[in-house]
Amino acid sequence: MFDYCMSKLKIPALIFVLLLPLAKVLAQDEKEAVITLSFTQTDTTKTCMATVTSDTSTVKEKEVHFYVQRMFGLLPIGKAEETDENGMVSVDFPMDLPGDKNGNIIVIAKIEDDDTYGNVETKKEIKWGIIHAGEKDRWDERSLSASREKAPLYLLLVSNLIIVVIWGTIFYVIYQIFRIKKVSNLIKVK
Amino acid sequence: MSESEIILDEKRKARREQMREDVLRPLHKTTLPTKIWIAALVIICLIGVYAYTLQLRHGLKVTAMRDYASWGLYISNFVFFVAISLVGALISSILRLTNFGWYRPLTRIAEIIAVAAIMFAGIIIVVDMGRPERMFNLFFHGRIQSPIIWDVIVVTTYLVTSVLLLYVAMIPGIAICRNRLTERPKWQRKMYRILSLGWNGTEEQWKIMKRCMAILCVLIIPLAVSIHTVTAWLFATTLRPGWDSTNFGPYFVAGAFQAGTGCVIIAMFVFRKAHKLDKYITEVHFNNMGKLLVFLSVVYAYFNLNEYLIPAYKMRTAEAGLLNDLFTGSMAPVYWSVQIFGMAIPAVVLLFKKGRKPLPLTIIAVFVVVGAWFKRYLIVTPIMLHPYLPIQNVPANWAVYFPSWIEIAIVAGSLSGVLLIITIFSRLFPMISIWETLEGEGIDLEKMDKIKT
Repeated sequence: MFDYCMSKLKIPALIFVLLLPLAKVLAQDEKEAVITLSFTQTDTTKTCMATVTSDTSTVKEKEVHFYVQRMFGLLPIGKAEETDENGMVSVDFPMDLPGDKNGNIIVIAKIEDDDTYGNVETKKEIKWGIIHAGEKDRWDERSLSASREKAPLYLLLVSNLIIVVIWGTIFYVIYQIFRIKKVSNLIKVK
Repeated sequence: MSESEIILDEKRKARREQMREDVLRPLHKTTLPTKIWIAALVIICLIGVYAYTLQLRHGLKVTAMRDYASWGLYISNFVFFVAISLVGALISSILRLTNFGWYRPLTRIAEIIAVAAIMFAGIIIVVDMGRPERMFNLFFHGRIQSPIIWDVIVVTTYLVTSVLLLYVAMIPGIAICRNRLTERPKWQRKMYRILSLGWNGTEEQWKIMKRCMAILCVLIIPLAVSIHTVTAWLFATTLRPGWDSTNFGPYFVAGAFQAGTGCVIIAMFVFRKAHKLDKYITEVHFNNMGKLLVFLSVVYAYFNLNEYLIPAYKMRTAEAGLLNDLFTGSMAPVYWSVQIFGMAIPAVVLLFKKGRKPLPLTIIAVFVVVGAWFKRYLIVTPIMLHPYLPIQNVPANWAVYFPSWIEIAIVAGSLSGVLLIITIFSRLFPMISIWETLEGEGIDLEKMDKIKT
């Protein structure tokens, strides 16, 4: 029985032993790369630049995607471009993206699903976002989107007026219902 | 008083006596089929309560609601209950104020359906809450800017007004129960005594009662329109394909009147048979209710045409997914069944007099009511599954919704609860308003009683 099992397992075992070094070679094929982000700015333009290096040499002809981190996901910036012979790629950055309360924005550069380098990602924060200056002031205003205490006056007035009129009528009816009982008591007394 | 007047007076008194006998007869004894019916409803309710205890213990994860369909079966059911509750206002108030005479024997049926439905509408909303113990925060910390608060206010107000409308018109009837049902258990006699408010038909009591009725009948119309319009606004104020419509308020109100009328027709048929009320709920009533239903079905079909045809003509990207799902996709069988059985067939069959006979009309009414329930499901759920922006980083199976057994059990329990309230009510109180029906026949009980204070 043992011999029979061994004879059946021989061929798969042989294939496994032969393929193991091949798998190792393939695994070693996926090299490590690093993306470095840099930013330049003039009066009218903002440019994001990514430099891709592997070991100490630059990596050319690799597609790099640029994104900005938003609350519910990543916002793509420009089209994905390939790195030049210096391993560099750049993209024009929009001038009007909102940032956090300090104007900070997180920029992400990615090589996605590459045969040689797999997935490579780097992110960097920069103060390129627009700060909504009026946000804080508007917060204290009465509006439909404000807090309970800051409900618009017209809404408070109209809704409370309706509630008072309707419930006033309801209480009047309830009072009248009690009067039915009162009238019957009067008859008993008579 | 001349001899002819005396004879007429005697005839009227005999008619009054006959009606009192007929209407009170079912209250003397509960038949075996009724007991079985009540037991079945209680069992379904208890299963629903058990399912709710599981939901309370484990949270809303026991439902099929996830990030996509955060409103599911419960909210569909809520909208259905709110819809059918409008019929109280339609029958008792609109028909009364527009001087239709035939509505009179149907007021009680319509009003109890309205009260039972709106009670369970309130309950099912609490069931939909993940943390029901925080419900009172709505009252203490609610923002008046939020449609949810408008809904809470208007549901509460409509419930109170509907109960008052039901009760005020019933006081003379309860007094008859107090005087006649002396063989009933002590608690029941005590209940009649308290609720009848010492009614003995004095001029002053009639005057107060009719004044209250007049006020409530006027008050309930804007409330009924408000309750369903505000419910529609819960959806319409949310930016979603299918809900983003300025037509939603009247669309909901039209559908509600149609569904409620269907419910009243079914109840009329059942109580007519079970309580042997053929003399009071006649074929004329079925014929008129059939005409009302066909009118409402056509109006509702018109609103549906607006709601679906125009977005389908434009087929905006965001709405195309939803509409294709309804017209030809996974929801198509339900969608087309609802449109055909719930609207097209009633609108055609009820045009013919034979279609408005009691049995065919009741069958059509069942189509309408079942269609109305599924219609609310179609208004709520498929739209939740087609948001403008896809929800990210969620498991693929969250993008589909089919209610869990717990949701189905709770909803079945709530539907049984409504039927249970109506059934128990019909065992305790007259299902026809005697004074209103006799008044319609020219017999004024107020004048007959002639007790002056």
